[in-house]
Amino acid sequence: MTRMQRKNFRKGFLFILPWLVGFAIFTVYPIVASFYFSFTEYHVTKPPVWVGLENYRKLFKDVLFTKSLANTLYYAAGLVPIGLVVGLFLALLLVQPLKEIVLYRGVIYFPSIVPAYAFATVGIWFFHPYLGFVNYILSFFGIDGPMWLSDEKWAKFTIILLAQWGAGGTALIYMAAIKDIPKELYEAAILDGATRWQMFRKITLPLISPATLYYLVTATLAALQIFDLPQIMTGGGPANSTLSYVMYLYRHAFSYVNMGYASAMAWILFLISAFFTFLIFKTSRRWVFYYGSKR
Amino acid sequence: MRKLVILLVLISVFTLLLAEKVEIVFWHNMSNPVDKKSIEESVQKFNETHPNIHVKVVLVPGSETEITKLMTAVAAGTGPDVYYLDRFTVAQRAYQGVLECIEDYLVQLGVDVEALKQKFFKFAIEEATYNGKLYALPWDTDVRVLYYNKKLFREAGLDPDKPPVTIEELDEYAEKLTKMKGNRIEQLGFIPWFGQGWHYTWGWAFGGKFYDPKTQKLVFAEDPKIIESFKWQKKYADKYGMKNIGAFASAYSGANLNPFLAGKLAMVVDGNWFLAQIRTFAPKDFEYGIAPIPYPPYGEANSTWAGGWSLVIPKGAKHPKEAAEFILYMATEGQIKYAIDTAHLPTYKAGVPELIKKDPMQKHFAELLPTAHCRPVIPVGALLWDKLTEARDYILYGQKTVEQALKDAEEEVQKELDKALGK
Repeated sequence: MTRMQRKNFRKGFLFILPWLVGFAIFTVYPIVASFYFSFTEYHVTKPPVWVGLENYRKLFKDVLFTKSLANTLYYAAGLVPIGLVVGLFLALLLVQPLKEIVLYRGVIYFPSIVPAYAFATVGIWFFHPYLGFVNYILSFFGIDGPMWLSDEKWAKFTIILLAQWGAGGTALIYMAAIKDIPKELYEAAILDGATRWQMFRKITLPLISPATLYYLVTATLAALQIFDLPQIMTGGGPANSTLSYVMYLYRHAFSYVNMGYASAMAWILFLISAFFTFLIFKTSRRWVFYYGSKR
Repeated sequence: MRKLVILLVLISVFTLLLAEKVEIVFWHNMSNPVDKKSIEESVQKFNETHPNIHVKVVLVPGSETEITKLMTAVAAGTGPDVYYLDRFTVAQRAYQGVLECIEDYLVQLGVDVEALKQKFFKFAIEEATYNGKLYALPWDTDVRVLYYNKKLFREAGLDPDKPPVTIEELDEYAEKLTKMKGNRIEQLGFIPWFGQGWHYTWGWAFGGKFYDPKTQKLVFAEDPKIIESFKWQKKYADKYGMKNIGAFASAYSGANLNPFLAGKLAMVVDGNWFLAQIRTFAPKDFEYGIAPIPYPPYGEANSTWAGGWSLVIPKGAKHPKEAAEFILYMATEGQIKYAIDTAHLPTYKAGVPELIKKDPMQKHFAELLPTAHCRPVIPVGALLWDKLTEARDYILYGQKTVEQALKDAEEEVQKELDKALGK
């Protein structure tokens, strides 16, 4: 490094220093500390006691740990694909050349900014077995609606359905991606006599694949950390059928003040998240296309 | 010039006075308007009579065993000076190092602690003690009884002045008082675990024992009477189905939407404080009766248990001495006022006659106090509660047998208890 470079480096370093300090204190330190705590028994008000792998060993014998992990994978398996289909479907509607489309966009996006607490509370009544709107509508078709949140088998699915309330965010991203696709591609396709489905399949879908990659990564991570909806709507019940991983972690961390155990759980979730993210990126080379780039 | 001097002197005196004023922060979770108002009025009176201390009240959510906010605040060093804590968890929180020993500060204030203890009911003082020292001063207490709807009794052809006495009668009445439409519950006679029908409520009514203080062992999983009390509850789950009961109950998830008050649940076990709710929220023509909790032939007549809250000083309080002074005021004078205002039973003996004078109906409850059970005073009381509740849910949903669920809970809590006792 020349003197000039060193000087520049020092200056640059000074400029990013505030961020670095914040990052170190509020992100790096807690991550490192939680890694250490995961090997201790730590009840916050007393100093941590080293227990080695005890927390991890206990976790794999803990039935609620397994149950909450299974529940969370169920949530992810439902939330990610259903959210994709709903979001994409809405986006396709929202790019239609209508005069009042701006209004529709607003209406579709609007629910996404309603706080989780509010729509979860509304959702409880929406899906109420006797008094709810959903079963009321179903009754017109002669269907005796399920018990939704009161039924162990339906409760998780009910939450997945309700979460689609926030699909506006995904729709917005897809909408932007679809609008970015050059019109001439469609024009050429029409000249060649392609059907709408073929155009969607061969032009739209590949060209919005970067948005899909973004969606898959963020939605998977969000689904693995699902907390607010089940916490507010069911508190984990009935019979722990909606207990999510993070809810159980939260219970250990803050209700039982079992920080060591909770930290161990956090690290396992981190590894699971890292695995899924890796998987998505690894396969993405095969299905993500960037317009204009050579394959 | 002289005026200016006087003014300056006055200003400096005032600033000195203001500077000396100590502010203590008091967290409680009594969001019920009646309870909240009484507490606020007592605080105001304390502030007026203690010019050197200013108490600031903050409403912070919490419940029996859930003290998330306090734990995080204490860990971060931003906790309050006074906290409203469920009394049966005092030993556990003291063991966890969350509480300051209030006795030390009371002594500093020149209080005769032994004489003070005599002024409270013994069980309340026991619950507030850890390692032989006071970690809290008791606040209110309560008892549990059976409430029943007389109108629904008449409709079902039952004598409204003859509430069920035995479990057998309770089951029989419950059957008669239930109306089903297909699988849908229109009206329920009785569900054991509603309201205050906790594991402890039935365990004791069935004559069972949860803990043996002599051997320091939990004994509920081996107690046939407690096993029986859960098996009896399970019958209700099987009969109506947890799904249907859940759907029935979820229509009443709001605070003031109680199925009993709505005339949809004919009988319920609830606390003495429920009386105030009936009076406030029930329709004008609501007819109800109060009776002791039913029991089996081998069980315990007039069985009930007493709980209640307490006032504590969390670790890291900025002004523990002033906090102790405030707690002392609240637990004595404040509690008498609280009893009169809110119909909560006091643990401060002087409050009982005052309460009965105001509301003669409270006599029924106060009479139950001397024989009321209180939950095991152990440093893992909160954990035991949670594990018993978990076990109950496993049983009701048929995920574990009664024996297995209780055994699992007992083993887990005993392990923690042994650790806490240094065994």
